[in-house]
Amino acid sequence: MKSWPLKSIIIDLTSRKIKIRETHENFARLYLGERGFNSRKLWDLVNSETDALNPNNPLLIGIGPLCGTLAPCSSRFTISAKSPLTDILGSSNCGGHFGPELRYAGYNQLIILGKSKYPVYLWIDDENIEIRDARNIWGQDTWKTQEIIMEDLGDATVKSICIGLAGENLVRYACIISGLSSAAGRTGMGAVMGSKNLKAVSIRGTKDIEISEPDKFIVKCKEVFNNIKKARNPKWTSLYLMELNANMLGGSWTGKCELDREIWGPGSSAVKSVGGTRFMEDFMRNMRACFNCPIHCKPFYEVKEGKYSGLIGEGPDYGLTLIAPYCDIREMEPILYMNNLINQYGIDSLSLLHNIAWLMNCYEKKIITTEEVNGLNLIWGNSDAVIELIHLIVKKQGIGKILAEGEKRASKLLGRGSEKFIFPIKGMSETSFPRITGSHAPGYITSTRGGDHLRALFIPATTPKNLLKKYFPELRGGFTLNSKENNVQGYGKVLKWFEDFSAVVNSVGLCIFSCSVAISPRKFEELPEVIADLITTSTGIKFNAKELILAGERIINVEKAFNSREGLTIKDDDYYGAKKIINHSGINQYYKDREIMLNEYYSSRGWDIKTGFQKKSQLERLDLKDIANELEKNKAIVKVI
Amino acid sequence: MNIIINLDKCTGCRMCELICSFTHNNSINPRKARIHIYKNERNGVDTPLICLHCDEPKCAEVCPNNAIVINKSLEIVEVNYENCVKCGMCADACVNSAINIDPESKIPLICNLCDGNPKCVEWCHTGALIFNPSNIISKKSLEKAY
Repeated sequence: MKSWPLKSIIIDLTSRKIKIRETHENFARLYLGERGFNSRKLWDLVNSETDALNPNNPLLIGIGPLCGTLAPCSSRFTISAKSPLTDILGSSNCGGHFGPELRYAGYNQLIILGKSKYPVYLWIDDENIEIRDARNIWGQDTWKTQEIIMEDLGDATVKSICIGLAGENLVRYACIISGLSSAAGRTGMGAVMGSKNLKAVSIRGTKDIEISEPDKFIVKCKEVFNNIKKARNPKWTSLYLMELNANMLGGSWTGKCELDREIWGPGSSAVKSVGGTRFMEDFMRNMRACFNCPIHCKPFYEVKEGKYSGLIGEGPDYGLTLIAPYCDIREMEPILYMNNLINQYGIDSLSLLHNIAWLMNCYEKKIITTEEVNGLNLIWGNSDAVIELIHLIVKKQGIGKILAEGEKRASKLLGRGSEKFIFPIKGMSETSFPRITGSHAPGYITSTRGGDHLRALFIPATTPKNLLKKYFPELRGGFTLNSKENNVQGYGKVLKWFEDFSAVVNSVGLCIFSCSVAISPRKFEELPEVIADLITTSTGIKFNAKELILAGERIINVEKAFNSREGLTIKDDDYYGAKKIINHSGINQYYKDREIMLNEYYSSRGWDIKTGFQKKSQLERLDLKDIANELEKNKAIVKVI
Repeated sequence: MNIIINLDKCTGCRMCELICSFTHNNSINPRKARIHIYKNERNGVDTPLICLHCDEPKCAEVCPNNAIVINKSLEIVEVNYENCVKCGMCADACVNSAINIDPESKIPLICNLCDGNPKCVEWCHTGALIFNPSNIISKKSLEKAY
């Protein structure tokens, strides 16, 4: 346990008291760190009465045992709280350079409680922790905020996370930004930070990370580093992935969908004008990376001519690139402008694009009039109107006030049948609708933080069948893109494995990208072993692959229990209202196979097939007896003798 | 001998800082590295700062106790730690801001090129750091370009 700092900071912004708490080694063993630590602490500190924007909702910032070490892609940290967007588990993972700095300061978690009377920021300088006045920064964008803090502290190497106007104004899907574009994007963590009057957290850490077995650790790091180097594709930018999706998985964006219009198909001129190939040729200046990352997937761009001439920025992230096909925007420049805007405002691109596309759809269907949308002409493709709408949402003005409430609440507030055109899962919209095959859908719908593509890494749809079968012999069939003869037997079990594995990756400090595509899905079964070796050789806490996956399973179960306590049932493991409306081959296939896949998933998890609830015996097996007892009180558990 | 920097290729990942501190101290701490990435976030530019082993080093000039010397056979700048009085004047004098002061011991950390096998160059995956063992590129032109 040489290098894993078992200390956390508890800061109460109401009483301005600061405490340092030791973390028990057994706790680290059970929950690994980062997402695992946060999810468990959230269970302990929150109950179903807690309002997400109330001071008693804690904001948790956790890092994992590999964060800040030489293990490639070890930049990640997780921010958790009860989500103001979904009212269930809120959890968001972020890269950049902030997480490692917390590690060098010697802590594994920050627990922020209460609410300050006036805007403040936290300054953590190794042992010296201060709550500082931020009234002069309140109202500033995220980029300027970080610059002012560096100037205030007289150190350009300080690393910060902060909120922009969206978080200050409590937009329910506000995010937290670090650097130019690293974001703890999903589930509205920025709004929780804003509700505490907390503008930023800044850190300077100067301590060593001691390595338990340096010789073995360095060999392991080099091996992973070489694997990534071999597998990485220099074209990897988010816009390229968007282009790839549109071109290779054309089915995903073609055909009538929830937007009720044709979306771009393979080789369309729109994909060419806003795709990654054009971006790299005409706009990209250089690539930038998160801490210790050989993938470096963050391009820096420059617009050289036209209305947006002189615009420079970083990204855009995958979420924002989807605003192009969703809102039918066929020019690159306004997309890059929007990217800067959302990073400076601090707002989640994925929820934002779904809210905007939904409103445009309502406008096109004449559900809402021009007067009601502040005179904006919200026809498909009007990028100026979309930009104006982003301003209105962040400032909560006019129609923006409704959209700032997030996908679930906004459609209810507007009513008039508009609910038919947005399909959040547990209150949050996922990346894109599963129009390719139904196979991605189970991963989206079972995700414990609501609709999301990053919590299951459900690779089967795109991984060759023979490879999957090698690792998961129980898989009988396999999805083939757009095939009508898919056999989903075995998929529920595979989904469980991928969820558990993702929980491990999110809890040890590594980037999910490096553990999915970069190290190649061909080797995914070996990855838990690689991660276990990295933890063992660096921290001295002995782990094997089986124990890691078990810890991942435990983390998923804590999160599931959290949501059950909040009142979620089996009905919430679905797209909200989609079945009634959409007639599309991918969706139809999903509903055809849904029951088989979900039943298999619930049984491999040891959950009840009928109710979707956890079983007491299963929770006890995972050392979660106290959680089982509390769930029993809430009648959200199935007893098994 | 020195290390040449190709600015266009640096992504700012700071892997060089980590491997440098690990190589010299057997532990990881970027603030104890002999190379540093200066991050100009707003302009998206990451600049590696490392000792260029100047022919007429300002650090040696200002050192009050002759702790910084030129190793003539290797043509590199070296620190004689026994003489160092930890005043930090060398770091202030360096024209490239390449000298870091150890936050704990307060001694200057100057790149020694890992005895001819610089680890930062080995681990830099983009080729932003290039080892120049026999001064193929003259130091004068390098200083100018920098």
